[in-house]
Amino acid sequence: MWHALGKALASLPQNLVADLRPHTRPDDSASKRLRRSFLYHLFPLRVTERALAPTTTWALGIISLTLFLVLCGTGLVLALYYVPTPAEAYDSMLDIEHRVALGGLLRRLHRVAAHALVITAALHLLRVAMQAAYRHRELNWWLGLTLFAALLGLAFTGYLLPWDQTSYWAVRVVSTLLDHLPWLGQPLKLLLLGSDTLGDQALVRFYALHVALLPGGMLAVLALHLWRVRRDGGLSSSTPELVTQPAWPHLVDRVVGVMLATCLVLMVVSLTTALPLGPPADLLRPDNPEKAPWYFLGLQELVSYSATMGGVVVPVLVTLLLFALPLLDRDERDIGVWFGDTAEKRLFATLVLTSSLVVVLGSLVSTWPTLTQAQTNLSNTLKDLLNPASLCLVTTVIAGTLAGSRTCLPRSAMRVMLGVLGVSLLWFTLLGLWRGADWLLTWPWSGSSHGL
Amino acid sequence: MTPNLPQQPDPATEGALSRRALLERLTGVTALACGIGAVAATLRAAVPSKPDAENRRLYVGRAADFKMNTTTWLSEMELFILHTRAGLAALSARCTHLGCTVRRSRDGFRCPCHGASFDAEGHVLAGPARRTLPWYALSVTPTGDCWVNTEVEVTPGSYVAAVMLPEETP
Repeated sequence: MWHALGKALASLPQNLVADLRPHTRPDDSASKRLRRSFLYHLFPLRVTERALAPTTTWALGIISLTLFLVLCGTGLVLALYYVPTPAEAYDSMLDIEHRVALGGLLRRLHRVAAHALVITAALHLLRVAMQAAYRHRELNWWLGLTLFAALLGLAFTGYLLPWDQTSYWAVRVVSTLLDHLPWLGQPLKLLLLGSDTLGDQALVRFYALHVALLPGGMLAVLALHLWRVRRDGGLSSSTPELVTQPAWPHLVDRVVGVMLATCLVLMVVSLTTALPLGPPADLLRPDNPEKAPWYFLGLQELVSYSATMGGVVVPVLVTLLLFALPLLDRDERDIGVWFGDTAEKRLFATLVLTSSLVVVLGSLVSTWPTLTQAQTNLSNTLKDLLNPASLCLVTTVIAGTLAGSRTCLPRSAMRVMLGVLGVSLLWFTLLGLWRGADWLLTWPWSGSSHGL
Repeated sequence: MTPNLPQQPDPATEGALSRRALLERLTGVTALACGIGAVAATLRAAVPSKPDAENRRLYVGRAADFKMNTTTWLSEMELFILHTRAGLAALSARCTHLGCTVRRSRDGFRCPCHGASFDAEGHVLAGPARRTLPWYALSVTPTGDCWVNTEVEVTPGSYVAAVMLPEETP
């Protein structure tokens, strides 16, 4: 018996390695290799030519996954040194930056990967929406939206942890914003801050959210998300493809290549950019202007028109639209392609361009001194209703209705709406970058640069 | 005991659950109840119990410390003390839009977070704020000490006459 146990133990490392890498016995078919090893079990046996073409998905999902894994790894080490108390958080960040071996690089890797992940995940979402790839993939679309929401939560809690100026005032603003959210606002605020005031309790809670609850939940949903891709039979398409290639080596090589390239770019950027910490939090006085990181600047610009409209109504409606997408669009044609035909493409371009122009000009005109003067005399309800945030909303709905009535396709209406919303968000982010002292419009290069 | 009789549907037990099905259902319901209870208990534990009431009656200084026609910023208390011909007043320095601390500006106050601007008495001039900066109850004791109660808001414009006592002689 002892002999058998010893033999089993001795062969354990060998078996583990064998399970992880493909068996390379010459008589094994590719499919056998795939079934036999764990790594290759993640992939289907055969994939379509379309799935292999880089322009179909731009590998945005794989890039996002790689970034997420890098964030988990670097975050784990950062969490060992970080101290989540207002008194020590900033100092522990300085320690990581200057005293921990390779700490500065780790912090920059974490930060660069986080910024990159916000972009790639948003593009991934946009790609799926624009290709109508959510059709017959309803559950996975909702799982993906949940992942994106968790990601924004991670981005938000993440930039709070250093407890510098930007962190402190951002929490203060968001916790006050919750007052504008009906019913849910107050309990959520108490749950988030752990107290009436912003202090030790709040920082510990943000830490717990950032290192345990959100990444843990995300890992679980991510596993489901990836598993569903396999279960749903790969990419969504309305034209079944018969020509397929063995996943090994075609898909596997590409995935590994993209992952390595992502890591390489990440490393180069982290080694060549400085990304210094902001000044420590001054609880008495926000900077002038006090700006959020770039990915929340659009939202900051929106709430600077109206907290209710820009901070609650617009985000809630956009979220609802995204979740309802697969329910509203039941069209079976052209799943998995960018646009139905050139006519739809032209209509999309025309509507998105004109609507974006309306939003851009509207928000610029609203900063005109005479108009701001006139706005002062309006009632509070009218102020909440007449501003660039609601203009963006109205323009989006009109453009969507026009597209829908022109083509009789809910899908093209939704594409146009997402297009207008996307361009508007970019525009509001740009406007946010142009805000200077006293939140007045200036050139971004005149004055202190914030927001990164 | 009469073994091996063909099963006759008994009218008394027809449509009723078998023992196995009943036990399975009971187990399911119990597990569900336990699960809900556990989640509820966990959430309840995450909600903090009511914190101790903060002292909201603040000593802000001697009336004589606030010069005529000045606005004094008490950074720690997030207050502005106004002293005009009409008297003394205490204004909240917390922006009514999203809670940043406002700064003094040429025409009153301005918020650096979203650009809300207020006049010298805290009325909204422009920007996203919708409410006047809160005026808190200020009282001057006969000895000239000023206290502000940040729990009690008063109508904007209600100044408290600053009775100028003869300077104390040490």
